[in-house]
Amino acid sequence: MKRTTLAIAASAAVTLLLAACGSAVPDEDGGDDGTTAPGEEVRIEVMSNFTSDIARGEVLDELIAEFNAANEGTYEVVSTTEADWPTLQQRIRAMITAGTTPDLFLYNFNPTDLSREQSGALMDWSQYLAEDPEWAARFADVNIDALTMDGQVVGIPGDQSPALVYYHEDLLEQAGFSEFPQTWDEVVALGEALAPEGIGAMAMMTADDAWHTMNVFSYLATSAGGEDAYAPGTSLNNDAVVTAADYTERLLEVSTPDAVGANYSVSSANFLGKRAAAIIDGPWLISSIQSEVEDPCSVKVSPAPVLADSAIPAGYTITDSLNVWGAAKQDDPAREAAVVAWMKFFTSNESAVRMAVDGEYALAVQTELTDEDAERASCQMAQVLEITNAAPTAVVQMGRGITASAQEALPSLLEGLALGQRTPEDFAAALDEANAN
Amino acid sequence: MASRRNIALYLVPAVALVTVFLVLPLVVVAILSTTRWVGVGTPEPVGFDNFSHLLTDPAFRRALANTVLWVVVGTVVHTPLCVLVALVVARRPRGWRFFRTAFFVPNVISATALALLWYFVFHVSLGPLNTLLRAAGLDDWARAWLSDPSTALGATMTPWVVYVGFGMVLFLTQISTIPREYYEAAQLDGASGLRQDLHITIPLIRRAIALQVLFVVGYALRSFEYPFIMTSGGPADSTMTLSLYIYRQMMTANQYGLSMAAGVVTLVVGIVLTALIFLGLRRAER
Amino acid sequence: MLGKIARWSVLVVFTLITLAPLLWLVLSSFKTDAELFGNPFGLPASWSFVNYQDALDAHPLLLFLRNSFVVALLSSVLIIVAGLLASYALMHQFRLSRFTFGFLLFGILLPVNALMTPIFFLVNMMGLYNNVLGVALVYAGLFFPLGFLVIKSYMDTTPMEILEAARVDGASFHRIFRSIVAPLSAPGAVTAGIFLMITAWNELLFASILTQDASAQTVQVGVRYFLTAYSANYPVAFAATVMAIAPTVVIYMVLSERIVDAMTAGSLK
Repeated sequence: MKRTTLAIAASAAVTLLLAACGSAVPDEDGGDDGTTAPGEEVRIEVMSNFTSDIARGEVLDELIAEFNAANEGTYEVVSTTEADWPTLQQRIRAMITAGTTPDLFLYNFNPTDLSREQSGALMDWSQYLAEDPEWAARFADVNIDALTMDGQVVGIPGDQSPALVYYHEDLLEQAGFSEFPQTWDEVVALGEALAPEGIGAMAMMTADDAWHTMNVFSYLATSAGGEDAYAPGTSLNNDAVVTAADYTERLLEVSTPDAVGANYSVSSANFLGKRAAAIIDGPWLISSIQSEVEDPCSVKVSPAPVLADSAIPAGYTITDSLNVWGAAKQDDPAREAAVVAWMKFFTSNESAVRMAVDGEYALAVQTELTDEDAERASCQMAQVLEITNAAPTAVVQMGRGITASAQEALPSLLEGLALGQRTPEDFAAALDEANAN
Repeated sequence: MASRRNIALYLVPAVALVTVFLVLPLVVVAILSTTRWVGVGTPEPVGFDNFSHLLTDPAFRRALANTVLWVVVGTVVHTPLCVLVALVVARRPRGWRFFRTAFFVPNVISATALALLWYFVFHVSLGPLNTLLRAAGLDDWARAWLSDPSTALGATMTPWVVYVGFGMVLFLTQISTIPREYYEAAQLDGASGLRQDLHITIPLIRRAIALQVLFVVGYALRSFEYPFIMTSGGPADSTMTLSLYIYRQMMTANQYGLSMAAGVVTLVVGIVLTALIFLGLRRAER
Repeated sequence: MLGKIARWSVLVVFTLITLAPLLWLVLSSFKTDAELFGNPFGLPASWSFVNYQDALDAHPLLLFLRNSFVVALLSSVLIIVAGLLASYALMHQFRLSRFTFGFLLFGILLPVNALMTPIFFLVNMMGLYNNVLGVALVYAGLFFPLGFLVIKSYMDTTPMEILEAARVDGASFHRIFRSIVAPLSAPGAVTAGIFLMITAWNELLFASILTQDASAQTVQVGVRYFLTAYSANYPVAFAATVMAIAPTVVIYMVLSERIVDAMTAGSLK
């Protein structure tokens, strides 16, 4: 029974065969390996959190459509999105680890964790910046310097968003405040005034990267200890961190009841649904305010409060980490050319203006708004630009500069603090310990 | 003919599956558990550092303690509930087929969906539980179930504890093998239904009970979906489980060596608990 | 009398605990966000499928469902084929046959979640990261011992006399398998198949670590998007959850006896 033996051998080996053929199964973007034949369209994938349902995603889709139309037959850009930032970052890491680095991806730069930059999987942009000094001049030197490692430029600065206070003017008036409080003690008082109404002072969260909470925390820590309160290399077991933890605990107490365990969507929904009076977030929140708050211009923007004896004068900003466009090292020069061509188009002044005005999103490039553009900008965007321009200094948010181990431990530590299981001193000591790993 | 070659040929797919996806990972997890590795680059040997770190990590100790608690709750709360329901259904009350079918429904639904559902049940502001409590005038009882460390662990265990379908079917199958004469004799002696259950049925299904405990242990070591979706292991790690710990060290902290060391500990705990139950089972059968 | 009341209260309480939350889920999936907060227990104002449409628009649910189906089917078929072949081989006595049986079965007692990290790297090395094939193969490996146990127990009930008679008639090793043993074991294979399909359909952990986008993610991974997305719309999340559980629940309603048997098969052997 030769035939049967063959049939069984075939089915018997099916597991191993499938496994062995795995690498030959085409990826969805196809043709990742080998070089592109001349005349063939090069397709690259751009991975970000610019989903089509938010303003900056709409603008990105438009820009991509224009770019693809102008380069028809040569380049095609496709956008892959994941709304949730921590999930996106986790995915990108997993893809770098798996050796399937996305062509172009937006990630958060962290000077204490350069595993991605040093993985050898990222493209070097130095040659392209050197060839086109006009393009290179569009980026701040400090950003390019931060991204230069061993003579290679590992990414293109994407954005660096200021985290500012957004607040419901009507809710504050109801509690007897005509503008946002100048000091954190007054914010705690505001929370106590709003508590009987079932409204929290600041919308806060502890899950994932605890973003909204860490914005508050970073303002507190810098106000207590100055710009270097948590600079990379310093011990986090210091007085500024303890003070910040103490105030954070009090603010969590007067936040919404679901703050402990909340993630970004819960926390921002609490603010947008007026269950919290204020939030500290980046300008991407503006598009949600415009679409979800009944009278969008009643939401005002303010610089963050400070402590009574602030180490830095009020008006400074905490910013998100520098988000960077990283790119996969390509074997095929045509694909690399496609990535560079798109990046130059995306960071041009025209694209940047549209991103800022229509996308509520400021790119980390020089952006020259005409008066006409400024008119079109939303009520909050105008205030954001005003506050950012007036800010004497900017400090990167604390959660962005700590190690992956400390980031992993952060939700649990904050929850311990909120629940009274940890004193502010314990919190600082434990965070410092996790940050040493 | 049943030649050795033919037999071997027929075993190839099965052996391949087990070797590639069970044996090989076991070898890898054992070796890499003694390294420090961020997932890219070369793993750096660190001896038993990962294991000593695990012992001092409160989150991991909490995960271990919670696993034991899952086993205890599964054994002393969940299993008796399954027995109770099985005893009631075994008497074939009117509509017993409906009840048997209904109680088993959660076993065909994914734990992911059930966890999402119970996340809402316990939700502080829109959850039906708090709404019901407030409607019943028990406002003091309403609370943030999932972010209160004294209730969060219980909340993540609840769905699993109250879904008795699987255990019930297990016991029903065993009960159906008990000869009717036993009960008839007992009835002649005037033994009540309760006495019959206690003195005839329960002793005769002890094998199924031991088996159920084995499943409980397996589940406790696997439990992931409920804490992952309902609480992310919080608040303050109070609902952490071993699976979730391994997942977080791997996906969030990028500590692959540490994650594998936690895997090794989980395997050892699993083997020890299983061996203990087998020992108990053998005793019970004697 | 007292006993009867006690027994009925047990039945009623457990029916409520088991079915009421599911019913609440289905009702809520038809409500608007405002209705959900204002009238959490009442009937929805209108039975419109708008939340279902929104859920389908928000994320590629149909793609997730398709991936789940492919993964469940592929892994179950692999296990059944490998399980039938191996069970037949083990009907013959040979040196190491007991050892082989133990080797194929030892995974049943292993907490396989402990192997997630090495399996993640293994699948990456095979080039099967973010590929339904990778997920299906991993399921086939992890669930093989369970499927094998069911198939083997069933096949062992085949009377040896039939095999002997066929052998005397000159049927070959392969022919006996093809024409006698495999067909006779079909009910066991179907039982295993039902159990494996449901188990694979419902798995979350490995599906979530081995995939990264909609091209390979299963519905269990996909429904989580409805809670981590930027604005949480609960009724839409409920609609998505209902769609994720509908396939298994509908099949269960049709085949409940069969499925109860399948899900507990092998456990009392």
